[in-house]
Amino acid sequence: MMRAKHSIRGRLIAISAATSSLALLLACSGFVTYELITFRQSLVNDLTTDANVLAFNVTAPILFGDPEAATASLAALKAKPRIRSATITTADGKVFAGYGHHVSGSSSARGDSEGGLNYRFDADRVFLSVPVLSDGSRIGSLTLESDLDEHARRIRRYLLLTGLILVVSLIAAVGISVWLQRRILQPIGRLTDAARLVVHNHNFSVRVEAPGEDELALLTNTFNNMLGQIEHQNRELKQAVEMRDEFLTMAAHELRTPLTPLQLQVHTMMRHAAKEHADGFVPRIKTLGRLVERVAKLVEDLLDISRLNTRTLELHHEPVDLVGVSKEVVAIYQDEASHAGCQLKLSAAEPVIGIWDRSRLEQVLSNLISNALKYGPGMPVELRVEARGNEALFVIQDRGMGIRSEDLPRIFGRFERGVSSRHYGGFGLGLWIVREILTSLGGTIEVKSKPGEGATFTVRLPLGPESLIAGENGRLARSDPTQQATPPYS
Amino acid sequence: MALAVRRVGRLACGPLVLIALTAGAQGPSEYEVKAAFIYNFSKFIEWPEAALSNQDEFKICVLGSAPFGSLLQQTVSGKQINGKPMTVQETTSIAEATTCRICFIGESERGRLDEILRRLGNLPILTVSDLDSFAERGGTIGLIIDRKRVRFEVNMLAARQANLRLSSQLLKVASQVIGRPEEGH
Repeated sequence: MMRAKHSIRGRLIAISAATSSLALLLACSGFVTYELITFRQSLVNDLTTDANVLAFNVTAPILFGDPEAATASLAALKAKPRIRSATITTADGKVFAGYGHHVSGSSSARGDSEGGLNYRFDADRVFLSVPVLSDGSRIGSLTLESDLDEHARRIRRYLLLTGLILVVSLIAAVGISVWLQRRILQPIGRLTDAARLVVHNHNFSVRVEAPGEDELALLTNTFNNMLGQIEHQNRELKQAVEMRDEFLTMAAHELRTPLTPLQLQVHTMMRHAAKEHADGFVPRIKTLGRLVERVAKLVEDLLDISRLNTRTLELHHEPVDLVGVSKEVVAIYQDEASHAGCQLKLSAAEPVIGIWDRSRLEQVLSNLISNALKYGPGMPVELRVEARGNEALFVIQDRGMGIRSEDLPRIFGRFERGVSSRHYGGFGLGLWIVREILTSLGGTIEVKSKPGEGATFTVRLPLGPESLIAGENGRLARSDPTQQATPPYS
Repeated sequence: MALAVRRVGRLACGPLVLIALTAGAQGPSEYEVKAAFIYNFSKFIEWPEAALSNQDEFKICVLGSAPFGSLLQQTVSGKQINGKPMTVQETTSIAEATTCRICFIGESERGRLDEILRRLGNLPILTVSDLDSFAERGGTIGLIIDRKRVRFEVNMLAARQANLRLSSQLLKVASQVIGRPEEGH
């Protein structure tokens, strides 16, 4: 999140810096180019003026054949240090007089045949020739050679100035964009903080202040409205769930109320039928009893679900031998196992004693075993109980149809998610209860499965409250936990 | 160093540099150069307005004998000063010479030079001669040979007496200026 913030800041700065630099560079280069052209033109103009004055002054010396007088006229150029040399050539190209390290005749007379103004820029100097006229006729030419030191100085000055302007404006651009970035990013930052609150704390009541009427304020207001809608819907949803849970609890209680007398009646009928040797009725009454048991079990599950939903599940901690409990539950399910064609095998070496709620443990094991029988008929179901460190390990492995990998995350899902008839009473309901009970006992459950190869559920339970294990010798606690077992929770 | 100028016409209006006077050198002859000088002087000298306006032509006289032949005539042919065509007149009469604007005094007039200068000196006439010490003796421009080059001396007093204005350009080139005014002209 900070990263994104920085990248926007960087982009804003880069945009304004690039824009201003580009504009400045273009403006400065245009300015400098114009100045240099102007400077060259004015240099040529100045040189032309000087050359014309000189040309006028050397007319008489040329006409009267007096190179000394011409040289004396040229000596006036000492007052103009930028002029390095001057050369006077006659109309036929011969050097007549010179000043400074004047160049040889042929090169200085370059272009003279045209008779007009003629100049040429070299890397560091400029040559300029003007004709020397008498009565409208060209009697010779004068070539001046000027250095471009001032030119170079001017270029350097301009480059320095341009650089300075660039630096100053870059600083200004960065400053402005930092200021802008604050103005733009602060509201975004507030939005981000609010969104974070919503995500982490599920607090839908936060609202973000939106000063101004710009796009960001619009976004913030929209965000606030969205939060308001979510908050409203969330409240409605919670109310609906509460109503449903309430109804569920009520329904489960209402259903259980007639079930207990019904079970009593079935038992009574059973006893009477046995007494009166009404053999024909006994199997039917047995079937009736099983059906009633099943309904009672479903109602109990419903009650458990509503208890777990409302966090009112009561646990009664006491020292329990997990191996013993397992044996009892396996014994209960032997009948059902043989019905399903399954062989239930329990392997346990020695007692595994911990501080747990016995009836809840029975419920967990029952659910897991009936699941295994349900989804792995005709195949052996293996159970293993052992102590490992401070944990009790209960592993149940079937060889049934297995679970598709895409269903694995769903099988411990809540009742309200897997409410379809396919899951009712099976995955989703039972396993959710199992996991919730194990969680409240401080344990975990995990599953590994491949389609067609069965499933393996592994339950891990801490042997008892951690204070008990940590305070005493672990082996002592495990070998005879009953002596110190004073369950802190009940 | 010598500039070869092959044609007189070119010589007159073109550059005259160092003139080789040695015999056999392929350069302009002494009098070719002198003819060109006479013409070129006219470019650096101002005559009084009245002196130019009351005549239809700009006359150059050759008083007495001078070895110009037709050189001077060729040099000024087709040239104008203030719109007046330049002409050359050879004469022996001082009176006739008074109507000229430039008067070249030839070798033959050595004997009556003082008289000539006395009679022409107050008139707007540029007196030129290659007689010895011409400028010192009161002539305006004296042509001399200096190290094989044709040069000239100027007498500013004579020029002022003749009411002629000589350009400073001309004075700069002169080998000697007699009576140079302090402030120039």
